[in-house]
Amino acid sequence: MNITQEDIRSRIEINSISGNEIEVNMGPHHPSTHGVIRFILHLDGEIVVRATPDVGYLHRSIEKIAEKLPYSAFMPYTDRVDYVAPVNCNVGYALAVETMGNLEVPERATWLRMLGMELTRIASHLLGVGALTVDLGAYTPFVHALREREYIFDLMEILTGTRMNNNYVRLGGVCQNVNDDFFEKLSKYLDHFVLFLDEFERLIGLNKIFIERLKGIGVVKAEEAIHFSLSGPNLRGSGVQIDLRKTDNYCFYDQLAFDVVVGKGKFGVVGDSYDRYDVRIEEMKQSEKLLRQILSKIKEGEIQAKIPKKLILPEGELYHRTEAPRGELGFHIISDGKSLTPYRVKIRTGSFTAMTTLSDKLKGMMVADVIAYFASLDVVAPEVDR
Amino acid sequence: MNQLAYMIILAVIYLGVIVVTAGVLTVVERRIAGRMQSRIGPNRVGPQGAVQWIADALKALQKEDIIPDQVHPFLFKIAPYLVFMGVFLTLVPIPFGAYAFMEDLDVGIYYVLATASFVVIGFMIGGWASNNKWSLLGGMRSAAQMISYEIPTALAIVVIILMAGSLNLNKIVQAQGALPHEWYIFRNPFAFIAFFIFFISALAEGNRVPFDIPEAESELVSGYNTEYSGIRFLLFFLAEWANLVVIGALVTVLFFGGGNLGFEYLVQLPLPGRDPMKIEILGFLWFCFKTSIFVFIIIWLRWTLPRVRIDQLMDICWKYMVPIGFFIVMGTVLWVYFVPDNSQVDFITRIVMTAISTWILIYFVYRVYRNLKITKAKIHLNPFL
Amino acid sequence: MKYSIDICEKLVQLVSPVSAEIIQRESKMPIVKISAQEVRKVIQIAVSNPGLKFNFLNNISGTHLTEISEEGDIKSRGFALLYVLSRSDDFSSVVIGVDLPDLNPSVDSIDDIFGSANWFEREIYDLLGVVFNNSCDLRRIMLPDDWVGHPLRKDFQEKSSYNGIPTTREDELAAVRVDNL
Repeated sequence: MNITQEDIRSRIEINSISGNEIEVNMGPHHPSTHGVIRFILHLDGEIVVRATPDVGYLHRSIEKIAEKLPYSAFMPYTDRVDYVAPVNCNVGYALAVETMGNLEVPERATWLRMLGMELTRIASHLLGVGALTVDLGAYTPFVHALREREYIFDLMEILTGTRMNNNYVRLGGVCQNVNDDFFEKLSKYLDHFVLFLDEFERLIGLNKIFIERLKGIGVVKAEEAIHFSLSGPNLRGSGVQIDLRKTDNYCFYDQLAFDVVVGKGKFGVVGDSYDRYDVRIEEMKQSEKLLRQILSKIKEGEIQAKIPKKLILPEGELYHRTEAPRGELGFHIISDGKSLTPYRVKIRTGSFTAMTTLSDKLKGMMVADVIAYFASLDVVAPEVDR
Repeated sequence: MNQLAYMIILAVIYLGVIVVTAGVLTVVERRIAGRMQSRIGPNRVGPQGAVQWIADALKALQKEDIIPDQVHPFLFKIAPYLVFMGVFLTLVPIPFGAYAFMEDLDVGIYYVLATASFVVIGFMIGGWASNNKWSLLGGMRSAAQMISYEIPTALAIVVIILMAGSLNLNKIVQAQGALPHEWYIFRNPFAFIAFFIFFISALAEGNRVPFDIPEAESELVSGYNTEYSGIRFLLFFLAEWANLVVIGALVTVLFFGGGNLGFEYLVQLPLPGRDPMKIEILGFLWFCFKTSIFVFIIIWLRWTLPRVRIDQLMDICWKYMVPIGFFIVMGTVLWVYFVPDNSQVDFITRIVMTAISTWILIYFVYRVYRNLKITKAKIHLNPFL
Repeated sequence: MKYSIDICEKLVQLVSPVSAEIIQRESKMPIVKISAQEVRKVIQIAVSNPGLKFNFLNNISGTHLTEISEEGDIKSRGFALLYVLSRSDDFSSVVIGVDLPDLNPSVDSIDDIFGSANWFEREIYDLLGVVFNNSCDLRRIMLPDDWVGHPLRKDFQEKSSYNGIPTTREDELAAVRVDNL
């Protein structure tokens, strides 16, 4: 069904400006480090009267590609769904296919997957928090966070073979094993990381200007967060205590003890941008705790089960969700029971639904607050556009 | 005729020196920024990267002169020159050392304030003439910010004028002494507050973080700077860094007795080699040292603090700085009236304030040391990596 | 996962007289299948009924259902939508499926019930061509506004050029052949 351009222009009012408003364009090229996302803002002085996000600049039609590839060949593409936290996306896809096909995963492989996931979660939150600080004008904490990410990349290189876009997980396990050297290095790094977080808090987290820029900005109440399907740290920052690692027991998360971090309105209102920042910092501390527990529980064993070379999943569909650093990562896989490739793969990401809050929340904010709020949502363009 | 030639030569010398200083400052700032961010900073071009600024200037000089399509050509071209002129003119009365100034103006500090306002026109014209909505926003914000913050600056300076009894910068320097307790900042508590008011307002005047909204990179790309490239952009850049030197110099002269080595006293002492020329050079070096400490503090602040929002910036100015400024002016009037110079009360106040400030400084250093021990951070104090 | 057959049966019970059947009963994810006209009613009951309270929208997916013969001919059989809703306290979920006809597929929009539904629906409209009636803002989201066609359909053929830019090359390896570099 083809809609003409006149239909579109008559239906939306992007081009109607009244009075003193100016229409400015923020992006898609932008020093704000979230990727290629464009905003069309109508400003009355400093205040935003209307905001329209325009996405699709990073649309790579990953879902269409999935229909042409066998299940195990699609794994590298899931890295690129969120290239800041690739192992999490790998595991999400692998779990969806394995649940649908009743495939066994050895115990050590699951522990290694969880190790990769939590380490990547720390790296992803570092980038999210660092990007928030650089958008607010503090350049140094960003570079410190990137330095920590470099240390984590070194560890990921030993674990998975590459620094980014790891392609670590295979259907039925992981692709390579590690020896105890790695666990020692990881343990030493975690000792250093806790102290780094303390230093980071003192550098920027408790800085008065930082707090004043973020407190009370973009308050998302708990009902609004549920209404807009926010997930992950954004949802928990609004006070809703839902963590998919606890509600949907996947992998071995039920054997580990950790807290679900919720925003408490530390310096302002519950659900403001500072809370979302704080939830990410505290989640990194929880991930560090999880990693230590994984280090104590991991045992020797196989790392990949035998999967049929030509894997055909039984006919049917499944929607499987996991907790990625940016929210709920859901894979909806439909199989027609007779071909080697999936019939349809739909990827649902946390950043996509975080973008839906924008046209509502940005009204009435100042331009500087637009940046602060958007950065606190930790949206990355590849997750939005896929 | 000789007078004119003399003035032109002096102006050219000053221009050369200040451009070189601003250029070197860009490299120094990038090195400091690098060391604070656990990386090195430019160290390839020349020994320890010292010649990086010449490389940058040469690169910018050979760039294509891009003038966007529908700008106002005359205003677009003249904006950087206005800004640079505004900064450069403020250098005239500042005494670098005992007698090293361009012109002994009796209205010294008033002249500095007046010419520092030139840059506002430059920024506004640059923002408007760029035919770019973001530049316009940057220009408007910049104008509002700079005009607002001139008032607390002036109020802090009034405190100094009241204590010195003159607008002449030379007399202000000579009314202070060489030792810390003779500096104006420690003379009375109102001058102490005035230092902070002046420093913060001068930061806002110079568009430095935490008040660098007009050039906020992540919001407006570069504000009024966006459409400028090549040598025009470098002129804006140079003006900002030269302004750093001016702020440092003003702070030193007004509050810290810049360059004053107690000349009269020293000249009378039977010291070997007490050549007035040598003392003058020493005074100049002492002045440079103090100025560079403040320039370092400004650079340090830039790479640590986030940016304030425009309405928070206006709040700080009008709701906090201006009332405090009026308060300290009134306080200084009363103090100067009731407490004559070199009296007991004056002397005790000075010693007490010096002692308190030294204690605060030592406590700050101790806290830094303690934090470093707790986080077991590895610091490399060697800047020449 | 938090799907259970009991929740599905409860939903079927509470939405009667609307006819709903549960398919995929033995699998890990039972789906409550309803017809296209009742989508709004069922979802409103799922959200507001105190025994259900599924007030969190996880996902809306769309699929193009086809029959592909051995020669590769694609016969379109219609579209299928899937709504995944969850409870916000314990995140147990229910899945609602809808089948849509092939010609002019349309269904009522739910973007006044859930704030995020609009973007999901826009993506399905953009890539599959399913129209959501009474949507507050239905336009393309990923692709440019003047794109022709719906790429995620199985029988989608690109036009040969878009605004003057050719979309295919005759010889696809020409760009990387060594003598062309």
